Amino acid sequence: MGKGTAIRWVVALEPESIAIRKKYQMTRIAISGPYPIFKDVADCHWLTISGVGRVHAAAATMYLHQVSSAPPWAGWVNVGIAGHGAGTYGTLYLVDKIMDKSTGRSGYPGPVLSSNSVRGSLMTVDKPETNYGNDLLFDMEGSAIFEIACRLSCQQLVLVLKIVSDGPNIDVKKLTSKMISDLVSNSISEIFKLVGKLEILTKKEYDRLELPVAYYAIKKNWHFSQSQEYRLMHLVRRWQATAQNKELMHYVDECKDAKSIIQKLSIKLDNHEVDWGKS
Amino acid sequence: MIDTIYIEKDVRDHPRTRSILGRFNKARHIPIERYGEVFNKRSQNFRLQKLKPALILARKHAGHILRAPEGFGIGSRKNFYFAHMFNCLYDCRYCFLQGMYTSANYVLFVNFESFVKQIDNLIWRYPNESLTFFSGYDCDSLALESITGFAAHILPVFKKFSSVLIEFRTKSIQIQPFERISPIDNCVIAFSLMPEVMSNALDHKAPPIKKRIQAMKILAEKGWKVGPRFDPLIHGKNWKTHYQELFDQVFTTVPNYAIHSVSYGPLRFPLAMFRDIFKLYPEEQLFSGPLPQRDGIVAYKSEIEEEMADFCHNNFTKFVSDTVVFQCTPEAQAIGRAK
Repeated sequence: MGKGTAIRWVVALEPESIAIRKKYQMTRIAISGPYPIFKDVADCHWLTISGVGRVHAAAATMYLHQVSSAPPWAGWVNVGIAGHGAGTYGTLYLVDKIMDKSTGRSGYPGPVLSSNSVRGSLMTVDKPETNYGNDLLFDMEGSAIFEIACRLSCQQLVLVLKIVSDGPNIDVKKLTSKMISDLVSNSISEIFKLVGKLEILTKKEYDRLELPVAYYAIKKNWHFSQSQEYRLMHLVRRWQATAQNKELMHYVDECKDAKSIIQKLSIKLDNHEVDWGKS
Repeated sequence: MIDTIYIEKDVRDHPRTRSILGRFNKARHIPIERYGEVFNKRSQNFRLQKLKPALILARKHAGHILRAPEGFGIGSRKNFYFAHMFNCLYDCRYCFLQGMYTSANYVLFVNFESFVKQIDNLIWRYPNESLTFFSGYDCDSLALESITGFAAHILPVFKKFSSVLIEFRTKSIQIQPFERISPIDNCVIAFSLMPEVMSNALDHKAPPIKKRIQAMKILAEKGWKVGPRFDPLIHGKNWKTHYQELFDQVFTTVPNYAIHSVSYGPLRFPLAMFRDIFKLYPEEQLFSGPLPQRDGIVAYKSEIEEEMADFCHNNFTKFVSDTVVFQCTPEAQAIGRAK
């Protein structure tokens, strides 16, 4: 896993988490809190188990964000079972429309990933739905996780994946933990393939959002006010774009204070002419 | 190319919707109430969405034709602009669309009839005035023409009104709608151009400059009026050499008699828009150079702007009459782009 990889998983039920935790060798972190939290050794993948329902799902998503210090470029993944009126038991769906039955609102997870996965619409309900129909998936958490995750990251970095577990011919009440765990297990390679693509997107966002090492190094050695920090950030980014990255620390080495650094960088960059190359 | 199409329920049965859907058999169709549900939501990421934009088919309810500010490129006393689409197939780094919308999905308004009706109304409202209509300010006029057929639909309208000028602004080489019909005197196909080295770095996914010039030549030889547009002007090392080469190439390739007008304008962004674009593409070398802020507008220093403008004007007048050379005023651009 490369620098910048940050994936946050939210599942409702413990059996839904087993195959994911196993793959990333996640262990439970030793803090007491409302929801259990697991993470891998590299701190790239974190997972929480929310329990059933929208309120828990939203709270657990927020809790995972806090505990894991999720960066703004983090990808968020909700994997879970769902009912479907016509879907085949065990089919994995990449959700691209989520309707919340109680609020009437719709959300649209952006399908930026190239994928051959079956795509479908999801209706999140507050009570288990047995009146399947309309070619919809039914769950009890998706809309809440999507809504919160979009606020914490962005729509293009949120994946909602649902596996058909029940329907007109499969009684939801007869589902066992083992069946749920197997359902996720059987789709795990497809899930990881999708999450692998999501990781690439998070890396792109990391590259865009993360400030260069030199910025932190300068801030460490000189004192900057809030507004000076903002100006420095802008100047360092421009410096980076000129591809003179390696020389930055060396260039400001002899400056006395923040003001002189900003002045020196501004003069240099304001006289910079972009070299577009040769015709 | 497009694997997701959102469709407003209101236009689901519109013949144009059906025809477009027929071209994307494998795309997933997602019904929506209004395009605003999907487009330009706050939590969207333009840069990521641009990797794989979806198509949104919608109905335009109001504001089909908008008044353009004074000094809006070429034009008459009364200028109007319209866009049958929001967003563009291309990904040009200086484009204001990056800072205008949080969403990179293409919104296509399928009710072309309403655009035609509004244009008709305006023309009848100002019977004794020369009007200019600009197409392609929230999108590229022709980039998705093979799917939308908008230019082909709207051209006959202008054929009826010879005193009204229509400009299609584009970087596309999809010129088939113009090849299929006889030239219309009051139509200008305006091509955005910049030196090839700059275009290679900035005009992502757009046709190469050479092909755009070639498209102008083809249209010109068929009898259409064309308009080279050097807007925005981009600064950098050896800019004079780059632009000189471009001008030579354009004006020796495109027959002079077919050039309706030449326009040029500086690179300018309203401050808020620049901030958004810079956040999206902080590594972009275009933004690394001197782009100070003056009165809420981010632009090259005045000396640079003036030097570039003088250089262009002096060169253009070697090839074409001064009367067909237009400078887009910065004020008009700023207002237009922040609309």
